[in-house]
Amino acid sequence: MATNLTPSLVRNILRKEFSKDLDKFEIIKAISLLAQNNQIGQELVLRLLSRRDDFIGYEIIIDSLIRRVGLYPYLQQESLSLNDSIAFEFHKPIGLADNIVFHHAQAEVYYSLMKGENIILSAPTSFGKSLIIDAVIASNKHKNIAVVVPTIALIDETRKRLSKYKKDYKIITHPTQEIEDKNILILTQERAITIINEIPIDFFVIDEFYKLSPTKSDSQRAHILNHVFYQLVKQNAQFYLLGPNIEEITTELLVNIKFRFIKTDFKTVIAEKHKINIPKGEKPINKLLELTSKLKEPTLIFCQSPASANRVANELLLNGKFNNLKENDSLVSWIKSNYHEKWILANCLEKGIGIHHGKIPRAIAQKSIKLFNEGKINFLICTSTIIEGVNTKAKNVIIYDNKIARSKFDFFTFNNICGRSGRMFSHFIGNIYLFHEPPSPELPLVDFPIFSQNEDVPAELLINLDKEDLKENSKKTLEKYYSQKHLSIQVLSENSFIELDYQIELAKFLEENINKVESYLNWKSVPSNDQLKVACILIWNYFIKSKRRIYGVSSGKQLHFRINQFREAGNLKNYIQQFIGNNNDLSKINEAIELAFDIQRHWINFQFPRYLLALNNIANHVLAKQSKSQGDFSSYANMVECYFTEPYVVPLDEYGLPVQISLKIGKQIELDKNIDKSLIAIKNLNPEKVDLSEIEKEFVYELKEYL
Amino acid sequence: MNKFFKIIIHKNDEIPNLHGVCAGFENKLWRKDQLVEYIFNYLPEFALNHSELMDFDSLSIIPKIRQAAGNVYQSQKFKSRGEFGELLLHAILRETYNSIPAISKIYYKDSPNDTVKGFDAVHVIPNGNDLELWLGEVKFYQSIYSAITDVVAELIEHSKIRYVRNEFITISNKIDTNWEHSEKLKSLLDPITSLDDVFEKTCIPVLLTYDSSIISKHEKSTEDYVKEIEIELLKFHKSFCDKLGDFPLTVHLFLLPLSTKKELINKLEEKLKIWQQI
Repeated sequence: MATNLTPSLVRNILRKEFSKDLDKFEIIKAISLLAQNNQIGQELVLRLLSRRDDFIGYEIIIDSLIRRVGLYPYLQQESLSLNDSIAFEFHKPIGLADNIVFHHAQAEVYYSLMKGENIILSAPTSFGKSLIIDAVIASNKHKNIAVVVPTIALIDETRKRLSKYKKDYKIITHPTQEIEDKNILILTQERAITIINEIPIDFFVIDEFYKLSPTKSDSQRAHILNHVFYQLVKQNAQFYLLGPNIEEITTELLVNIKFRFIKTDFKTVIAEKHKINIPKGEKPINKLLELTSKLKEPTLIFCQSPASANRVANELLLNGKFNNLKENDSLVSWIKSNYHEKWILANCLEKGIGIHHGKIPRAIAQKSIKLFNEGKINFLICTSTIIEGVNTKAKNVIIYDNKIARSKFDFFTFNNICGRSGRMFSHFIGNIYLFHEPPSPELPLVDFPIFSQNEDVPAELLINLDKEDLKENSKKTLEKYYSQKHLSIQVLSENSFIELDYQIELAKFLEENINKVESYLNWKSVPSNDQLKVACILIWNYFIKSKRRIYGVSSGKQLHFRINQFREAGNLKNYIQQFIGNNNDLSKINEAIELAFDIQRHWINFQFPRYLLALNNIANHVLAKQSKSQGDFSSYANMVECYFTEPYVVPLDEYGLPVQISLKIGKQIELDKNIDKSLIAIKNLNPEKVDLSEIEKEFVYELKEYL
Repeated sequence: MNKFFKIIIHKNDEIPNLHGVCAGFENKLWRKDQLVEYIFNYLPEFALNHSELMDFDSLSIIPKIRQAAGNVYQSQKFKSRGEFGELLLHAILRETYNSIPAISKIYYKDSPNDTVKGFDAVHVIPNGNDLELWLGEVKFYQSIYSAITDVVAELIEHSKIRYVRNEFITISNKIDTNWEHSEKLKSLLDPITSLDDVFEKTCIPVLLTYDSSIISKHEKSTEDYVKEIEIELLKFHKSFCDKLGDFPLTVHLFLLPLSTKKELINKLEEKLKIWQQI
């Protein structure tokens, strides 16, 4: 046999069934030589691992190769030599489960963090960046740790993972929770900004840190994240920022704050890309149907939008190749009776297909992921929420669309989607099926605008900085806000998710019309219908200022209408029905259901309460200056936020318990308004002692597992 | 690192040559404590490879690697402690020849059985313009006679592989490409290079330890002691050479007499136990 086996020859041999006369020793020898080159070596060793069972008798050499490329987690500890055993032990972080060992690159990051360095890490999805957080927490060195994540779904995922430290740390996911002696705060930036100033943080993590760089569609959230980052850095807390596939960091931080940027391609699984050829005239969906009927292992199907996901789901349902599974029956009928019997998600789950996108109620989306990870459904049709919001992995990823919403995604996003394929220990090789040409390989540079303070950094961000940290040009930008008399810097800063000029315009308007508007702004607890209407109109005209339709709302009046409509419906099922009316068309029904979800999540649960409090804040400032009595909108804002039901429904929904079930429990046992207390009540609840269906109990048991 | 071993005799006029070394005495005691401490200084480079040593801060490594060794000790897998002889061999090679652990493992196929075998240590040593490959064997024993018998049998096995062409798998330790000999190492490992060429440059260092009544009898490195131990060392060198007979590869014999292996092991365990708890 030729001794000059090239990487591609070895690759091809390892992809296929072995011929009987294959000299395995030669194959391993070739890999050991090629392993002199890091990247190729690692890839080939992973391919070799995927065929481990075909190399019986060569285990010790395979182990040596694994050790050589630093993939310690894949080593079989029992058969190691003394020096390799010591190296293996050396790569085990202290305080984690005994079977957890870091690979070489993880250990490097871990030891740097343990030394107190600030680290910004760019590494592929399968690297295991989060496990390092666990190890740092397990060291028990820190008193207060903050983990900032981009979505509420990730709060929940992280909370579950870190619940193993609940003996030493109180886990906090909501700003209203009580602080104890040692805490782990797991928060989105919007939640973090309200409390991080009150708690001395020693160590913080920003997950998906590239979100500090604003994009067109998401600059508001990026600014809040920058603000959080700045405040934590000012507290002198040590940090660990993590994210995938970043080329470079283009900003320095404050003078005395140093950090190390580590960029690595270290992978623990590899991805095999397959181009799907679509002959002219053939519809891509037919190719997709053909492909899905062949794939037997867990498969993600990436679509550009919820609408596209629904279309694909519909085609899969119509094609008739998926049989009904009995397994998810009780969940399916629960969903049908609690949302709508014709909702596409229920029909899909019935056939072992899940759907995951931003419109689906949180607890149900989480349940879909759980079913997928447990192998109870084999296909998950998803949108970008899966790459930014949750960490799920599959053997196969089908990239059906090459866009997110309407714009083509870049190489960075493409990589992140691809990163969902393969899973440590079970799928060394993942498959990516491409329906489009991949984007050109160019990775992003990340800037932290709050520190760089380039010309285009907006005043909304700068207003949150201490004066001493402002650069000269930033001071100039802020001058007009410092010199105006309408609103204090504090008010502007507290509402800085709203453009500063908008805030001032509103203040001016209120000042000029104070006698007319006074009675609409000094209410406390619950507004009259007219007071609510005025609030909605002011919010729309001064804060949102859009002529477009945003999640089913296009004016202040309509916002007012939607809120009342939601309150009067009494529950989500009735609310959905109002949008469906007598419609019988399946896709129209789905649109209606999702519109109801949109309004609920975007306006009722998030934006309206937030804007209402900002309005309250600004109005009070104006009222106080004119020595008039002030309003207090906070209890009404809370009421709207929890869907005019009970305060506990929101946190419990985030923890995976659907609103319908928590309300059902709340009718039978006392659930406190206070989140901590309601969680304790659920923790102590025996689900068998309350009137719940089997599937509802299952939700409760799953919740209790991590409390 | 400062040299630790006291050279009693270096007999270089025949092959296999002889390095007779001992740990010496201090405060009227055989230096077992110091020996244990000394060999553990080699733990980082013994256990970690080149890139790992580069990526970890060398100061913070030491306590952690000691702890790792302690944990391995506790795992019971290395109960016989014989494997700690590999660390001893590593230390002696590094000290006496300034060898470089550039290769972590060499395996060969013992055809036709197809079982895979390896060596206790693989180092390289620059020699003029060439690189020598040193494939080490160690017997961390109490009885010199069993040590000699066992190691000779193994060496004869090894010598057979000379005739098994191209049946080697070498796993390099990824030495820096800036290393002056890195190209030579590559060509040494290249399967195109004839094994005859490789073996011309191959040496087999053999380390044998044994319990010596001479050491337990003395408490200081006196002239009498040196004389007595030298005679013993020469005697065992001769019996090793006789037993090995005509051997095709260059062998370097290292003899390390111990007061007793048992007290050395006890000391070793004591240390490991402490480190494991840190």
